Amino acid sequence: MKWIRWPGLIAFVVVVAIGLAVWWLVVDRLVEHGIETVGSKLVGAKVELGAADVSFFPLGIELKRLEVTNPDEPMRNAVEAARIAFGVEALQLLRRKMIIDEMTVDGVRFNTARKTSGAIVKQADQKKPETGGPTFSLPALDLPSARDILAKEDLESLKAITAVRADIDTAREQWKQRVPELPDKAKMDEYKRRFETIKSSRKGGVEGLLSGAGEAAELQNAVKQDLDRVKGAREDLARDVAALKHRVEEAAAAPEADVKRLKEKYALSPAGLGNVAGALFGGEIGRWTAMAATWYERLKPTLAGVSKTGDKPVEVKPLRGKGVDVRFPEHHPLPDFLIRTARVSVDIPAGIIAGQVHNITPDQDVLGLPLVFEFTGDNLQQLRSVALHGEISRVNPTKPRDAITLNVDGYRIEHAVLSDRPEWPVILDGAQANVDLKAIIAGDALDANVNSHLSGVRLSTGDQKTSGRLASALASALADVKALNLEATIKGTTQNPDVRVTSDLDRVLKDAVGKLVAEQATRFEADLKVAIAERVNGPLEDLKKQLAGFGGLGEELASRSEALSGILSSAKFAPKGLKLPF
Amino acid sequence: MLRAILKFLHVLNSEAEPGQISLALAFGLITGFTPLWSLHNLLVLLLVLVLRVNLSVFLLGTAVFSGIAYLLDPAFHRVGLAVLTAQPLEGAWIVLYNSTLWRIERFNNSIVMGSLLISLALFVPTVLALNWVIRQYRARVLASVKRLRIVQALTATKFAQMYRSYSNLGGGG
Repeated sequence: MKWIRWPGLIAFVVVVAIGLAVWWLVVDRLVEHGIETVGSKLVGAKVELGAADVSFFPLGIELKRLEVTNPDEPMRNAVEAARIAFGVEALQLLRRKMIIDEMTVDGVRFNTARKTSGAIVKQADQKKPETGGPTFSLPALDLPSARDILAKEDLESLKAITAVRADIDTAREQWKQRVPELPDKAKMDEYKRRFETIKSSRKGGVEGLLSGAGEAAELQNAVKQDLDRVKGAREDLARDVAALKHRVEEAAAAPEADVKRLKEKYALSPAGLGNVAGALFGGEIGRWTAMAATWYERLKPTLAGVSKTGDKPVEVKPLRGKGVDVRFPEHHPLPDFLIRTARVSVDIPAGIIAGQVHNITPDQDVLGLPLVFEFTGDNLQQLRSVALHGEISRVNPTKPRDAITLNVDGYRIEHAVLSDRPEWPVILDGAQANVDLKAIIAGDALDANVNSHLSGVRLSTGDQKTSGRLASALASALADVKALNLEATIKGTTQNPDVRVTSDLDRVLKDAVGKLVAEQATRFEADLKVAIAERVNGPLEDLKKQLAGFGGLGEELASRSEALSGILSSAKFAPKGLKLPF
Repeated sequence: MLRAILKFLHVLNSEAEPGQISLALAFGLITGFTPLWSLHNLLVLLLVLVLRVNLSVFLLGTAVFSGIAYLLDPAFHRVGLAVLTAQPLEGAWIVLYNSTLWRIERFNNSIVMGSLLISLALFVPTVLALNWVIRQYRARVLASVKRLRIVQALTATKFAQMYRSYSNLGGGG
């Protein structure tokens, strides 16, 4: 029997050709499906692609209308691109590496509306990183009455008085127990009687003399000991009274502290005007910071990279039932995914910003180069020019460092609502801004600085319903502002950024309404003092009376001390010519 | 599937060389055990088409061994991983890893490596064992089976008619 059938060779060629033809027919759909599936998994919301077109000579892919849903707002796209085209290194693709020399991304737009929701069913326990922005608030212009404030506020002075009263009661109880233990009038009378007995019963001769002297010495010692106890008690009492007196004085001073605290809390002080810029602009800066931090945290795992091709074989965790891919050192290491250069044009409402991104890869440690990007735009509609430069470095994965600089020149701002509070609405009707931003993220530490100069400023305070003197003065001061400088520093971590805003607007407002605010604060302070005194003075007087009660106790101890001293000094038994040993 | 079984029975009971059947099943063992879209399976397909082995039996074998492979995946993974991480072989793997052809083959995947090694190890014993079994079956069992009353009764059934009609059409590899 012949073991070879040569027509089988033709059949093999036909089978392979059919296989390739089928693959060629479905490859576009496979690429589209792959991008949508993997993208949706990475973003946590729908990633949709209009069409994918794979060409073979040369090998390249063109993607049309890529939409990435904002997972926080499923009816909006975080980003969309009209067209993405790139060529792929075929040989590297056979080695399972996607190496793209040059990619063109056209028509990138951010925050666009979607026709259908892009939400996907989220897994349980999927927690977002906490990146809430800092909160700023404008100081209140309308002050509540002092009595209304006291109705809802706890007074620290009342708490202090209650505490001191409890201490005085405790001390009084302790002295009530201690005083009866000290020698009283009966005891002193007994001492006197015993001295008299010794004096009257003195016998003649040396023997009698020595016997009487012994008893007298014993009695004198007892009196002395009692005298020492009374003196000790007097000293303790004096100490206790002094301490309680100090506490009462502190309690008496507490209302002042209450006045100060409540004044700072409720009154618009000249110092309170010191951060109006923070209140007006800080919220917006904080929101931008929080949004940037959220996206940064979301992209972090992608930037961190997963594959390693070091000196030792590494196992990569597989999908279930797919086995594991063991990686070995490569002679010419390349990342699994690399876009050497991406030319991107971004459509913003003002026009088109174009730029380049280099070295896009999750394996910077393999490539040895950081991701760098630069975008510029000139003569835009509301913007004279904008330039963005940055570097995202994971070359050393243990020391990640990202840096970004943004220069915006001649940005026209129109109708920006800075405060929507009905009692103090503030609207930036128009301004032209120059903004310089520098930010560095090293590890988790964030250090950013925003310097901006606003010229041609038109601020309005809307249609105020409660236009008091202060509100009118503030409105007038804001209306006079034609230019201002604004500086924001953002420190802390990306999860918890700390935004601080300073501006010369604060000085302008302080100069304009500082005196008015000071007068209002003085009036408010006087009202507060009266209202607090009404509540505190009574208990404070009671406290002083309680403390005065210790005076009688002191006099009592003094009288006993004197009496004992008198007994001791009157006890003289020694005969002439004989000196007793005490 | 019924058609495939009928074909198999036809081939088994025909005058076809036992080697054609056993080799087809052994090739089916490789394509069935290892992941289908592997480079080496293209070579197996070429061999199956060029060598005079029975195609029906090869397809049936691929289907049957694919089912068994699903159960054996953990064993393939363990064997493959052990071989890929064996220190003495590391140098060889590094050379292969840096070759495009072997990267297409995905030799560094634990299941590809494990299943390929096991199926290659079973290839020759399978061929030899099946040859012996087929010969024994034809020499001892087939004649006896045909004489059984129950078989004679079954030959009158619809299944037997299908079998005969299929044989008359000349189906098979």
